[in-house]
Amino acid sequence: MTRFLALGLALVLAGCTGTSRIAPETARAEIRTARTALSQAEQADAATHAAVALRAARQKLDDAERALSTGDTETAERLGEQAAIDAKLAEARARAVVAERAVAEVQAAIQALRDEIARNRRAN
Amino acid sequence: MTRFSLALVVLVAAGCSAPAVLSARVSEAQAALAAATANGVAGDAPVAYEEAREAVTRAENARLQRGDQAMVDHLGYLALQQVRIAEETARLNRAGRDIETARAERQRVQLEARTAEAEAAQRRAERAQRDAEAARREAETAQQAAQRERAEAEAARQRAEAALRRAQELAAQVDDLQARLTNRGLVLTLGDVLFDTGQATLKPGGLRAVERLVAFLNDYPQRTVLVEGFTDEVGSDESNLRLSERRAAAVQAALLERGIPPARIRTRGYGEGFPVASNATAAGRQQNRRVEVVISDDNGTIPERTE
Repeated sequence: MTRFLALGLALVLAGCTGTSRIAPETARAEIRTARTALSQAEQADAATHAAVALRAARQKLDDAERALSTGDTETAERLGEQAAIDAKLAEARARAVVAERAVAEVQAAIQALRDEIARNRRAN
Repeated sequence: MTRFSLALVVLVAAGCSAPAVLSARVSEAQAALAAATANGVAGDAPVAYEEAREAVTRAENARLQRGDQAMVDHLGYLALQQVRIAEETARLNRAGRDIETARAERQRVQLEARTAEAEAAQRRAERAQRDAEAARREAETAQQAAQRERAEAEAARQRAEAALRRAQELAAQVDDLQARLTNRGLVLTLGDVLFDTGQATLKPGGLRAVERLVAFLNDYPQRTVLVEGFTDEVGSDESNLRLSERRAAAVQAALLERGIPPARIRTRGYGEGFPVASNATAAGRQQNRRVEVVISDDNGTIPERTE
């Protein structure tokens, strides 16, 4: 009975602290995902338009790789996941900024045309 | 012992699952989601919004059910970033819509600008044409005025020349005839001494004056003459009138004799009328006894005697 109880307790405690081991392969997959996301963000010119988010993504990717090399697969996985989402945010932000800039350019062109029209009408 | 053991297991199990973890990350993600919802992100980026919402729910559930602070924070961070991505995606989509609207607007305004430019060019051209037309008219007017002035100057010059010629001619005629220029025109006076005393016969001196008159009338064939005879007061009016008529007729006869056509010669006797000097003295009477030949202008007209 006592032995049974001790076993149950150990089981419960183990389940509770969640020291579930992350396989290195899982962490490596997460890091690959992050690297892809980062490269897509760079292609979207995030270095110019979303520098802060992009820097955070790079930092976390470096940290994830370092954690993986020391065998801390859990940290590696989490940092990899965060690096990926930071990179995605950088990409989304860069695309939004570029799109808004394009809108502003067209609106500026419209304003210039309106000014020209007004000049032409005044001029006569 | 068994009772204690059971209680322990219950306690441990409760300690593990019961108290929900406090996570600033999760709270932040929830607040961000609420703000995104208020911003209409669900409408502008439905897919990204749904992913964010699910991420927040996952983090929230982890917070409520599990005890691993690091895991809850991690999920909270992922959820927060997912919400931010949804916000950026909504911005992107809104910009995509806005640029369509703006491009359509730009096209419309470009057309309007081209129209305005064309109208302005048209107005400029019209104004230039009007200006050119006005300048042309002004130049024409100036040219006409100049021509008029030249013509007037020329006419004035010709008038002046003609006047000068007439004056010179007249002076020459006066010279030739040894005549006087009066307000009736040229008048040649044949004095008493050119007639035989009390007679109507011309003396040689009178005939010389007639010769000069004939030469003049031949030079100016459009001119006519009026021959007027006068006497002094001595003698009766009747005899004086007749004498004056006869003397005028004598001059007329001399002219006819020398080829002057009768139509160019009229005669009149005034008797003792129109004296030119006093009849009280012999010298005055002699002046009054005379014949005056009035020469017409180029039209043959001779003004009537008024005094």
